[in-house]
Amino acid sequence: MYRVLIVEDQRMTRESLENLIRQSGRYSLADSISNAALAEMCCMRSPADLVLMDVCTENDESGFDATQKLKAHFPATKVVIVTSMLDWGYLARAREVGADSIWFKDVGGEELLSVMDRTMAGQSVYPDKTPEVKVGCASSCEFSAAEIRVLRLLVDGMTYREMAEALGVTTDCVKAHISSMLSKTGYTSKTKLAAVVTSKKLIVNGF
Amino acid sequence: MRLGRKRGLCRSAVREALDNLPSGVCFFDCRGVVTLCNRQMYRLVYALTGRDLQSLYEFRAMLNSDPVSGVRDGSVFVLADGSAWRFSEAVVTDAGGAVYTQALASDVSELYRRQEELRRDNRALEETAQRLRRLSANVVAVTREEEILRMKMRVHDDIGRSLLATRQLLQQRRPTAELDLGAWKNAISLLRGDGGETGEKDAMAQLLEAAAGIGVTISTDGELPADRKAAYLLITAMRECATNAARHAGGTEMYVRICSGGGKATAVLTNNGAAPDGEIKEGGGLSSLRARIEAAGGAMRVVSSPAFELTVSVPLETEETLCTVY
Repeated sequence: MYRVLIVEDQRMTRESLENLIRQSGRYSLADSISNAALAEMCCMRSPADLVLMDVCTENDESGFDATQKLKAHFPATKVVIVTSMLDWGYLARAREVGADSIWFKDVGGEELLSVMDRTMAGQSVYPDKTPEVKVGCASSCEFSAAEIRVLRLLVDGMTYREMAEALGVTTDCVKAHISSMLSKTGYTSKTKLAAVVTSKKLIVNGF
Repeated sequence: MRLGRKRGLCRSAVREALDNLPSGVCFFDCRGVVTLCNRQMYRLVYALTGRDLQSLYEFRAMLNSDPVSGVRDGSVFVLADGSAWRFSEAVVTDAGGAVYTQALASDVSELYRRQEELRRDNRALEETAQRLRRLSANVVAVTREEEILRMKMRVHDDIGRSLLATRQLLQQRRPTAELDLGAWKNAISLLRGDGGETGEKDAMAQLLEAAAGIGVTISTDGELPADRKAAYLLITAMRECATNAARHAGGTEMYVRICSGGGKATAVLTNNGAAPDGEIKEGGGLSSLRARIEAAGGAMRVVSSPAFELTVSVPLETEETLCTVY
């Protein structure tokens, strides 16, 4: 049986995952913690075969950072990142830190077990893209990478000039990206655009 | 003025022309005495100082003090009637070589009004930006709440299904051994302790347990500060050191001396492991710890010899004094 470490800060979700592991018949529970920063210590004590890693954990510790550390010291341990947020950057970030797989938390237990099985079989399970979400008249897939980079700074309340400086482009370029996004979504205000992408969790900065 | 005479203009014509200018104009001779001043300038100086303009000295004094009527906003004076004026000085020399100081008052009312509007708009923009930052910061908390809600709905559905199955079993008088107790147990265990994070261990307790798991006992001398953010940064440093002590130095005991005062909390961390071979190069763990500490406005110092010692200081939001007296 493969030993699984669960990293999840929500008690109910964590216990539900624990039940899923215990009843799976092919996985056993190595440990269950709420703070991603402690995952490395848990694996030092007794390495897990697979880690189910949440993205935003207790004390705002990042599951991505913890995965990077784990993979550096325990390359044989498989890491499946689970998230309920759809941030565009998460798939790329998961690849960057060496996560074996990433999947969405809201799926049923069987689907998650199947992702775990495929990961243990050596597959890297990533969704092709983040689920499509409507932003005004546009679909979340219609935004370009450059537009998303601008949007990420916009939701942090930056001015045109600050965004241009942070991205190393001109303010006209930033304005053109915002104007393009407003035209796609049909919104008339960039504040509304920022508020909608934040509330739909397409942009979650800080992890 | 001499130029005026040469071209056949009389003195009164020059004055009349100047008086009709919308701007205020005044010329002072080399002793600072008013040589020629138009009506507008007299009016403005009187409105701002309550006195007639006599000399360059008085003019300059007016520019450097608050007006008796109206307000001063940097280099702009706003009169009681709402008009805004900017004063400037220049040296001019006439055809005969005489040097005069020219004082000019320009009507900048429209510009000032637009600047005020811009300032107001910028304030409104900054407020919007702050609201956006708050929204962005709250999205993680909102997501957590949504996750809990979805989980509760799932448990609710599971209980509904179990109830239905149990009722059918009882109605059909089938043996209770067929009852799916696992589903009931799952639902009950998830609901038990519902009410948030009560019963969860705090960050320090979690660290002590995890460190004990890798064979490191942490002994602390002094109290963690009440400031949660500062306390957690110190705990982060302890976690990094405990991991390094076990991994690189074979340490089994870590000692932490904590002291709060002077607006900051400081922790000095040592261990009983082997001393480092040479100067410690800050790699992934220590350098990311440094980045976190410094981003929070704190400081970090690593000593490699004669034994490893890490000192971290983090700022406190409110003053606390918790120090062991030796």
